[in-house]
Formats: sequence, structure tokens, C-alpha cells
Amino acid sequence: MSFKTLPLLFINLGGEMVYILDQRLRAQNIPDEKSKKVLHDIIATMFHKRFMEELFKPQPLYSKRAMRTVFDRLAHASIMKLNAASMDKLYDLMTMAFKYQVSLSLRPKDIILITLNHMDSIKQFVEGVPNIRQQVDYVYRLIIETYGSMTAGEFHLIRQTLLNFFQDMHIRVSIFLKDKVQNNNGRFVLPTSGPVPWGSEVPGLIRLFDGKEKARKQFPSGGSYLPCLAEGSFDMKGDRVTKLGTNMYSTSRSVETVGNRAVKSTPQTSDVESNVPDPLAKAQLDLLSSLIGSKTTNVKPEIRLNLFKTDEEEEQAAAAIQPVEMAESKVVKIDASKKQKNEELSKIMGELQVQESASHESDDLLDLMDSA
Amino acid sequence: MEHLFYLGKVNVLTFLRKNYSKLFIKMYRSEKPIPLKGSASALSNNLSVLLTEEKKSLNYAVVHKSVVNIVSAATDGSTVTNRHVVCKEPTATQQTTPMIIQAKWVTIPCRTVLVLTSLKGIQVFESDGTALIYWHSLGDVHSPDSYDQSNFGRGITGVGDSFLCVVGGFGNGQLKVYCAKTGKLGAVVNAHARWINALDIAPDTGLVVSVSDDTFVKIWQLKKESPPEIEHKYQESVSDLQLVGAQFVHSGGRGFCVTGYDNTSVYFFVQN
Repeated sequence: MSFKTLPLLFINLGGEMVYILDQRLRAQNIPDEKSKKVLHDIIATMFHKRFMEELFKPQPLYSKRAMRTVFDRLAHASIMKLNAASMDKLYDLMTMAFKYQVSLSLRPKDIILITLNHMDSIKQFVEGVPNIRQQVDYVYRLIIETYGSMTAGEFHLIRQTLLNFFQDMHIRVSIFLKDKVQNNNGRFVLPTSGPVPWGSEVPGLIRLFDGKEKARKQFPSGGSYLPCLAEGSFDMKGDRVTKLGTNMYSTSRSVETVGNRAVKSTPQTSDVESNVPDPLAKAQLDLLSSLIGSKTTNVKPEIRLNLFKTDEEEEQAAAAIQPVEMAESKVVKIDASKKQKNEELSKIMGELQVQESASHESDDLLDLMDSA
Repeated sequence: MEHLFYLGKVNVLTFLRKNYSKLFIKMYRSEKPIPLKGSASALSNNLSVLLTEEKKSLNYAVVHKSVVNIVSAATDGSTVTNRHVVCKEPTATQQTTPMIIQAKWVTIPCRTVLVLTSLKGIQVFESDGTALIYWHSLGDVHSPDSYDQSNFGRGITGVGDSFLCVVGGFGNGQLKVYCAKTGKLGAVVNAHARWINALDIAPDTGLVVSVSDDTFVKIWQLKKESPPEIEHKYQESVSDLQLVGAQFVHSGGRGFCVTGYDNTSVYFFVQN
């Protein structure tokens, strides 16, 4: 396992979240000004300087549950509210999109280009907001510093770590099914054609040496491969060459998963990881919640975003997943009373409880705080 | 017109006669896959095979996160049993779930053992995975100067005395063949379109199997020239699978099996 994987997982999942929220906000005809506020708030929280510096410290990946909790928080860092069913769907879409990008990346180092594609889009979303733009630029620098001089072997390890994080997740996504890049069993189509990775050659040639090259023999490549394209820019700006990690949604290409979340084809043998509490992840979750807390304690949800086509569909999905939610909250429970020394967090908790009595609208955010 | 047709026919027949074996008799055919209890993790060399003569069974070990799934199948196909070995690490503060890097049966003169390597150490089990024999700690991987220096070997296999050469699989999809005695480069093969994840060799015949993220399993023949040479023999794509493990099941290479990331089967191929 590579200890430098967490920032990449977080930034890319966050990037996908921003794409999906942007698409849904437009599809639901939310006024431009409010949509912008939601995306700006979320990006500002995501790229908070202190939180980012914590993430970039070498450490193992969070467990799947802890990661999910982080994004629950993040999605609610603004004036928008998502119910549990929509949040599930959002998270499924994000994770499957990034799993697709990692699976299809030509060589391990392409994961950085994918990350930079997400960064480039995020930068565009905050165009004209200098303080957030500055935060985003800082993250570019962290990425370039951390990964700029990494060896191919280390990137390979990062790719394996990411793939193992996504292991056994086979949720079907309609945009992928429509584009015929995902099979009905939830697996991605791996083409045996197209350009080979940068630095590689098209299979099919054997060169024999005896001090110098003495003979060449050919054999069929088995696919229809093309020579590699340009490398792609690892700088702040430039052509990343790969399209993986760019925004694949538009208002006409909607976000959808197919079927019920419960029919995932998973051999449920060993999620040992979910039973192991992770002190580092917990500490960072606390930091994140304090960041979110200090920004939004006085904000009431103004927008309710629905990831489904209709409200009815959302309600049905919500009813179906209820038991899962209960189970999750049992596992990731942290006793808030032990956090007395964290004044910030206690403050947030306090303020949220006031909110609870004042309004039933903000139930979702409260549930999230409780389950942390 | 008739003349042309006739010529064409002759050409087709000659072509068929010359290439019949290549076209219609493939070197290997695929057999029924063996189901695993958990999917294979994305690791290099994520498949180990052990043939136990006395019990007449074939054993397969595949890593799923912190568990090794072991399947034992009687060679006559009569019984299939599943077991698993859980990797537990004796640490006071369990910061992370242990992650196995490789599981492999190693035969030493007196016995066969199952060796697991994880981020924190090496564990040696009885060959059936029932008892831990030996634990060797690799030191604190959390200390700031050792993180990320983990092993990322990706399938380098040595060849027995009869061949005296070394084959290396590389991240750019190339195979390189060296003379073991002189270290001289014998061949460079543009073998795969993606990273090569596993290699194995059949010591009796010098057949080599390679698998890659590009979904292909390819078979090669090493030749005892000096420096050593290599020839392409067979290839098959296992649809939409990033192949992560490959092993011959006989020392002569008459059969081999492969595993793929996120997949719960051991795919089996036997020689025609």
C-alpha cells in the first residue's frame, strides 16, 4: 500500500462530486447565483489549506466508511441538503467514475494527469473568486511537489492501492452503459485497441541481441494498438492529453445509476477494514468537521438536491436503504462527550443542537454529525 | 476470371497447409474456471499454485485484501475445498488493516511452506495454511524514512540450471531476456500493451507465461542459444480483466492458470 494515495483519492472523488452537483443543480433549475454559492462553498472547504496539508502527509487510506463520511460532510458544507438516498447515489457515481478512470489509465503515472484534469475543471468553477482560486493554486503546487519526482514503481503502487480500495464495487452507471464502456455485470470494458502508454511500444516485435542487435522477429499483437500519444503536461497548465478526469456530464447526459443499490454483486467475504477504527482518519474527520462547522453553522439549507429523476423515486430508494444506514452509523460512532477539549467541535455540536429544535429541515446534516 | 480463381484457390490451400497448426490448433484451450471465495486484489504475481503428489491435488492461493483464499482441487476433479488464511499482524496499535503483498508456496528441500509478505513483515505458514511457523518483522513502516520504500517487484523469475537465463517483465510491457552467466542481453520483446503483472516459467521446457493489465496472457518459448533467444507461441485475451497472476501447473508447461483483478475465478488453460 502506498502512503501517498489519500490526496489523490480525495481530490479526484471531490472533482467528480463537483461535476455531478453542477449537473444536478442545472437540471433542477436552481438559480445561477445559488448554484455558484454551493459549488464555491464546497470547493473552498475541500481545498482548505490546513485540511489539505493534513491530507498530503504520508498515511494509509481511510476505510471506505470514513471516506464516505468525509464526503457526506463535504456535500453539506453549503446551503444545499441531500437526503440519504441521494447522498448514496452521489457517492456511488463519484466512486465508479474514479474507478473507471484508474482502471482505464494507460500507465500508473496517468493518475496524476487525471487529477490535474479534475483540478483544471475545479479552477474554472472558481474563476473570478480570488481567495478560492488561491487555495486551488496551492493544491496544484502540493501535487506537483509530492508527485513530480516519483518513480514509476511508486505510481504503480499508488494505482494498486486505489484499485484495491475500489475492489468489489460494481455499481452500474447509466452514462457508462450507454457509452458501452461498462458491461451489465458492472465491469468496465477494457479495450484491446488504441494508443499504448507513453514510453511503451506497440506489442509484436522481438529483437534479438548479441552485443548488438542481430535479428528482428514479428508476432501478432492480438489487438489493434497504435503508437503512444504525447506524454501530457504535469505543470500547472498545459495539455493533459488524456480525457480521463474531464467533465463527462452535460445537462443532456444525466447522472444515473441503474437499478437498486442493494443488488451489488459483491462476495461479502472480508471487509475486515471496516471493523478497524482508524485514529488518523478520525482526527482528520474532526478537523474537517471543525472547518465545515466554522463556515456554515449559521446557514440553513436552502436547496434540496435530488439525484433521482423524481421525488417519488428518491423516496423509494430511501426506504430501501434505511437498514444499511443504521448499520453504518453503528460502526462509525464516536462519542462526542470525549471531545471536550476540542472547543471548536463542541461549539459546533452545541450550535447544531439549537438548530435541531429550531428546524426539522436540517435533519440530514445532524444525522451526519451524530454518526461521526 | 476462372484462371484467377484457380490461382487463388491454390494459394489458399498452400497457405492452409503451411499454417494449419497456427490457424486451427491453438496451443492451449481454456477449461472451466475455478471459483474463488473472494476477488483477487490488484497485486503483482497474485496467484500461487502447488501440486501435492501424495494427496493428488492442485492448490491455488490468491490474495484478497488481508486474506489468502486457498482452493484445493483433486487432480481427478472429484473434490474442491476452500480455505482461507487471515493475515494478522502482532502490533500493539493496529493503525491499518494488514495488506498482503504476495502469497507464495515455496518448496525448500525438507518441506513446502506458504509464505505471505505484507507491509510489515513476512509470515511463514504450513503449506496448508493451518499454522503459523515463523514471523519476521520488516521494521516500522510508519517511520518517516521507510514509508513508500516497499517492494514493488513485478514478476522477476529465475530459470533452472538447464536454461541459465533470466527473464524480466517491465512496466512498459517489455520482456527482457538475459544470460544468467554473463548478464548479457539476449532479447527485448515488445510483449504487452500495459504493465506486466506476473511471469512464470516451466523449467522442463523453457516455456514462459506473462500476463498484463492489457487482458492478455501470452506464452513464450525460451531457446538455449548463447545469448538466449525467445519466441512467441500463444496468446489469449481474457475479456475485460486486468490479469494479475499466472502460474504453470506442470513443470513442462502443459497447463497454466491466471487470475484477474476484482474477479473471483482462476482461469485454467491446458495444452491441446
